Amino acid sequence: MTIDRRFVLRAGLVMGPLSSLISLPVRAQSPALMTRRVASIDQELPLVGLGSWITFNVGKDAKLLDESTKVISAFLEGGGRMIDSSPMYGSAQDTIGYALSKLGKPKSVFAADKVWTSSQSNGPTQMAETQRRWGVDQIDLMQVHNLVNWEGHLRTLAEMKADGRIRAIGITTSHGSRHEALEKVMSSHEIDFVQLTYNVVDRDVEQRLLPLAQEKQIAVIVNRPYQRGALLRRFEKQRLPNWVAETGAKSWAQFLLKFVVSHPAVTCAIPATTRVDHVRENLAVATGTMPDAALRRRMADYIRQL
Amino acid sequence: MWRSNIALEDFLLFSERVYDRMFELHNLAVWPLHILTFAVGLFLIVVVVRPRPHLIRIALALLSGLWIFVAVAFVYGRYAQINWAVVYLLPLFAVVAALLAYLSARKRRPLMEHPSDISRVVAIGVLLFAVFGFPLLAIISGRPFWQAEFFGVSPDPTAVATLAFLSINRGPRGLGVMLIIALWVVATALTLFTLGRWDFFVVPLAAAICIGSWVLGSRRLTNTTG
Repeated sequence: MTIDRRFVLRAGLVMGPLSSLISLPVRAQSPALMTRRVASIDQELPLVGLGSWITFNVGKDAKLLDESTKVISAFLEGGGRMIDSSPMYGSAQDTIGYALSKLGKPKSVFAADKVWTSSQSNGPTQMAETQRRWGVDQIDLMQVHNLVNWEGHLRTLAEMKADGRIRAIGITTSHGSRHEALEKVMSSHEIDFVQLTYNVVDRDVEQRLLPLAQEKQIAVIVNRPYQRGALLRRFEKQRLPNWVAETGAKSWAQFLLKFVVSHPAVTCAIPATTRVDHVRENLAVATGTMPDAALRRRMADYIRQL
Repeated sequence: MWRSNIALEDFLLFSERVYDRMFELHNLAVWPLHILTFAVGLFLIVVVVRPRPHLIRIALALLSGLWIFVAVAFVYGRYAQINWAVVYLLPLFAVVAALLAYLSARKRRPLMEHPSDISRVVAIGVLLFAVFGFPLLAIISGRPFWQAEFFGVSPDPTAVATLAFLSINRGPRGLGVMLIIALWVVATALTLFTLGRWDFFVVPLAAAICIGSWVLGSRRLTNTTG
């Protein structure tokens, strides 16, 4: 599943297997998404990815499987690449596999998943099952989910990466938990990605983890950029600042996501959704104006005083 | 130092939309079994009105079978697709089914033959709700009819009906089964509460009424016989 920057810049224009699902006018209007480089694997990734927590856990419900396929189709059509899942997320992996199969197994997908078991010896079996459920030749990024037995699994992942079975390895946490342990792993181990929670309200990671990631050239995946929708529900009745256009955002969702992906240490945010229009709204964040440090401070100050 | 912003809703693996459609798909898959389970529900009510030993044994056996059916067809066959954690509750269903089968088959006469009037009224009322009222919750909540939960088909109304039937049983084993069922009641109430459902309290309330009725009925029996 290798890909180069040129492909990313052409995102939205070339999706051979998806051609039957992509309308020409949309393709022509989709601007290239801004990307950040993952230094350790020499890979450019769009700033906005796609999470799967809850949203793609639809069981064998044919109607919802097809709706999820439309979401993934719109994501790829819009130039998105990273899709993130976990064995913990119920049937999400199966849903992604179903969608990718329906969409002709598009090569543009950057498959990110996790190993989530307390037993190191069970890790390889679980990861093989994950790859089977995705229906891909290779999972690009395999992460240790929520630091569960991270020492053991990182050894396994390092071997898999060395053997070429995966391209990158990482470690995850969420909800602002276990940051000290995460910092320890980032400082002492060779990892390509770290996944953590960051949003305009949960900003602890700005103190140590994001600077450390920059220093160690570790790519950062941000989960819960909307606090699982709680931030949207909290602010949707509030007025956007009259200077919102300066941020490049047109809605609260874009305002909140712009704040996250404009941090220079952030490689990719992975909001999850069940709606095609929300996917497009999220992807649009990776286009146009991006707030600088001063504007980011202004955005955070505005949120604080609401 | 451990810092976290984890909320109860973060333990939910699925959305309300998926949860509701699960019942719809299940109802459509097993229809017209509902007619049979309605008949079983009516039979339970008849048995509470006229509790005869052989009828009580048949009712307990039928309930045992329904618990196995709900466990296999719904909990394992459908719910586990979106909630891997529910698999760990399957032994609870097996234990309840086994104990109901034991109560049905044991040689000693069932301790349900002489319920007090109040116990009987409570059991009939809760049974009527479990069999006929429970499906209305979906309609009251604005969900389609096929997303309703039915006795003998879905776990919650089955649990409520079983609790109601056992509430007229004066034996401690009956109470034991009720307390095991209460574990499921807690799990389902937490799920509904986390989903933001207004009716999350209905099943626990019904369970509390049944267990309370059992306790009061037992005291009355003790006072009468002591």
